[in-house]
Amino acid sequence: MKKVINAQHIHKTFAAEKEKVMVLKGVSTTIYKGEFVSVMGPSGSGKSTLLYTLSGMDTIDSGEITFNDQSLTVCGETELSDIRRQQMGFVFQQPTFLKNLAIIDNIVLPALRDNRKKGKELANKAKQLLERTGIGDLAYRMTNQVSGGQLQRAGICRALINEPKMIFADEPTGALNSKSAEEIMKNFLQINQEGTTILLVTHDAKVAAQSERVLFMKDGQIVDELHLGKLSNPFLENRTEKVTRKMLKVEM
Amino acid sequence: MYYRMIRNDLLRNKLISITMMLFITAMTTLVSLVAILTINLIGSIDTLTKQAEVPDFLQMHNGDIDTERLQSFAAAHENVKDFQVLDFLNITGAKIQLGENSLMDNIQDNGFSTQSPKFDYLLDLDGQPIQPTEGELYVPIGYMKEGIAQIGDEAKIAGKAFQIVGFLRDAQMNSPLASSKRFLVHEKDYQELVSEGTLEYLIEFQLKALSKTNEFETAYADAGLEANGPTLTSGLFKIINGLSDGIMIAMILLVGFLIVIIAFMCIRFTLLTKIEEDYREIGTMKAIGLPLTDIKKIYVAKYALLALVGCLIGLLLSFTFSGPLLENIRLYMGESDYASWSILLAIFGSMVVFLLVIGYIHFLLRRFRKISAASAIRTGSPEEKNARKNYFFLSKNRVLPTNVFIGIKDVLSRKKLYATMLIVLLLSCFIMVVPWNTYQTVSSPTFTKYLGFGDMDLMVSMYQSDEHVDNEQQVVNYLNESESIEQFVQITSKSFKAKKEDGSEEKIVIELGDHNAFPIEYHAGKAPEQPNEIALSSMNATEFEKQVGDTIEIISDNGTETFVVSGIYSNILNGGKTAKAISSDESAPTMRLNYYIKLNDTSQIAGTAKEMSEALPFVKVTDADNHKQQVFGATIASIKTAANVSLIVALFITGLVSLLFMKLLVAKDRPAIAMLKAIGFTNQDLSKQYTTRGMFILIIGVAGGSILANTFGESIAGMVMASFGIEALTFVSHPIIYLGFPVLMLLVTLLATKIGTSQAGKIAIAENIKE
Repeated sequence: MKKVINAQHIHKTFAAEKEKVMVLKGVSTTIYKGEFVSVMGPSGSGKSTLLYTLSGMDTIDSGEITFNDQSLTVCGETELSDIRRQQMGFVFQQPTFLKNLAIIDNIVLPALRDNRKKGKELANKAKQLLERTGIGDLAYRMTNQVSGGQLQRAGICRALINEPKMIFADEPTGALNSKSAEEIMKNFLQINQEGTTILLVTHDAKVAAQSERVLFMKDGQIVDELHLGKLSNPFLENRTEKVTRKMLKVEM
Repeated sequence: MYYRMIRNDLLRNKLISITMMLFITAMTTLVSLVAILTINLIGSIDTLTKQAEVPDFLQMHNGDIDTERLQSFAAAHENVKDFQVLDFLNITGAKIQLGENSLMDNIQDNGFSTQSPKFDYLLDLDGQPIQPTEGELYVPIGYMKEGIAQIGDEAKIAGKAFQIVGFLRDAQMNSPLASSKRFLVHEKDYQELVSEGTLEYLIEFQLKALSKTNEFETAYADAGLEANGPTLTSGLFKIINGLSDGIMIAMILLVGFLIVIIAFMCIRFTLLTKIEEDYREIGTMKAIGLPLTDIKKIYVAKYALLALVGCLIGLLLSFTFSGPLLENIRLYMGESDYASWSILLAIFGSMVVFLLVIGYIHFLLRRFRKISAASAIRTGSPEEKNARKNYFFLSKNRVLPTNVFIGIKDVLSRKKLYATMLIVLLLSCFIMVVPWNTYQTVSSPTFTKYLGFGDMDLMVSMYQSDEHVDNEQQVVNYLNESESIEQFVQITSKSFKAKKEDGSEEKIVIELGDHNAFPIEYHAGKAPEQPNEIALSSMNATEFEKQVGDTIEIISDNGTETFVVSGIYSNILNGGKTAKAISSDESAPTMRLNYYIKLNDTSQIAGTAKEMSEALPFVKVTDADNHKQQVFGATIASIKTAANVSLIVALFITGLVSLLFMKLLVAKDRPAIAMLKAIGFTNQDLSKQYTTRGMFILIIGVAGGSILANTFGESIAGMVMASFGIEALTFVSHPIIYLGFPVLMLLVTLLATKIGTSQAGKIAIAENIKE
């Protein structure tokens, strides 16, 4: 299988006041094309930092990260921006948008940067994505005129507008109620089924259980891993139980 | 604890703290300067007036004089405290040589006098009446300022040698705006000079009740006493003495006022941004039960410290700057008696600035009451309100590049936020354009239209004398025969009386002749064309309460004649009180004859003027441009300095505020910037977006500032000019003001935006997007 991300021995330190805190302590992992991987772990374990470093949004102190065989550690700021815009998609815990643009404009934003003349085409594509995620009628609303769940789905549409090779999601259901969270996960599963690789950070065992592989982190290291395989709905409760048990073991 | 919190906060926000302090410093400096300069100006004028014992009423007179008649009028009038007649020996500039410099081109009426016996003393630089010895010459202080004369120079007056031993202050004629200057010599030297000049008289009165000066003026006119020349009062002397420096103070006051507005806007903007940033902390402090007053103290203490330091520095700076700025006042008028008062008032002004800043902070902090602890901790600061309706969609935009669209859209969506920067840029543009337009207007050739005479090259003037008729014929013959003259017209100034609205009569000087030959600008109506029409200078129009279309009764020896006011014009010469008519009245006494002349070749003005002076020694030849330059030269130069200073101040404010604003904006927009970077926008993209915002506001600011400068600014400049007697001033501009200055502002804003937003590229995505 083709490797999308290959990370080897990555270290990351944060300087806080007078002392330094090592957040990632020699993490190595590989994510393959078409996979849906979750990262779980207690607060402060370094899971979000891992996501930000693997996507090139944050720098590392040492180690090596490649994305589609291209080394991210040697790329300059502009190159990294190009990779993020053209090959990656991001969904954040708090859906962050430009508040003075309509939802559809926020969605086409990363694509318009390179294709100013294709506004109409991109708008149609954004509308299709909105339809697919079930919020087709909200295209021209402002971001403060829709609910958190709807906004998160708009965030997924934005992540998909450039047809990325991989989506990074940092606790995408963390700020949502359970019904909205379920709908968001349905969207992710559908995207994954269509071939997009997903790396998702979560606290929620039920969310992690829907991915095919779960990485468990503790104190800046990947300490365990659980292979669940592709999800088939009748067995979701079993998978959630497995993830919970593993998580408890990690935390002990 | 407060000390540590304040120190940490100041260190963390160095640029913002320094900028705030700079504004408070500037504000205090200007407020304090205005106080110091105003008090010292008033004080110096008062001191000079007292030391010189200025007459309360002065009638200049050219021609025969009946001193006994004047003496008996003075004795009979109950309001007269003292009376004297002084000689003023007018000697043509060509006969005055001061060191290396000749006063040939000098437009002043240079006269020689001896020290007055009773009052109206000519003073030395220590404020003492001068008693020159034989061969000594004291020169008006203005000639020292202009570098025309120096102590120790030899002077030649009509061939007689003198030594310049000092300079004199003249409470009447000190100002460059006064048209005469007095030199002081010994009585014996004076007698030797008498045959070389024309004698004029200064008929001077000191009055018991100053409030009754107007009544005295009317009584003097009614008595039919000597009045062939301008009439002046002590109030007018004070105004003339204070005008040049008064304009400078007025300009500082205007700039100061704008700086105060800008400073308060910046305080508001930075404080509100800080509160927004600290929203959660404020909520937490409220939640744990800290009283509101304690929370406020933290903010007030920081600004109190900045304000205190700023005010102290400002006060010290104002003392430093006041020295050079008071130099001119001290030179012309001497030390002020109120110097210590000015220091007290400056300190008081600085304290007012300090208290205003603190008061304003308290006022802004009222909003703490509205902060809900629970929601502040949970959600942070409330979101800004978005535009209710969205008319511009990025996805439908086919014209603007994405970054430019985002920049403009942001400005349009957050108008309240950008209003601060917009108003500052608008005011900066205003501060820049108004003084430059004023300078451009005053220095433009068309400015003569406000001076009460048309666009001429030369003016030949001749006072009434015994040889009047012969001389007049000689001048007319010369002008008719000269080949270098394209056109000339004779204007005769005659003295009449006119009836005021209240029935009283007042003297009026009317210029009679063809006023269409050298047309001037009338800010209302037109030139007189019919024999029963009259045009009034704006000061006379005000004095007689007349408007275009009104009638005015003119009294001459032939009786009373009614004239219709055909127009009103600006005039700054001859005390600003003139009138124009075309009728010729032989009965009234001629005061002087003027010939307005246009030459075939304007490059020959100087040569022709010299020839004319030699051929017609009894006339005064004035080069119109040179005349304007000498009367207004110093004022034009001060306006130019003020314009340059304003330009620098405005550019500095533009840069500083743009920098401050962009820095705060970037801090405020951190999550949005992090998001844009996360989804693949490069640092260059961000830079383009912020530059667009800066440019967009700048364009609106410059447009608004220019409109404001041409409307409101023109009115302000007009008001200042009106004190010279120039009404309805219209700005004459220059392309560089509207093209070059915006380019300068653009460069400064670009640079400030570049520096101010440089941190945007360094914003860490992860830290700013997680929550």
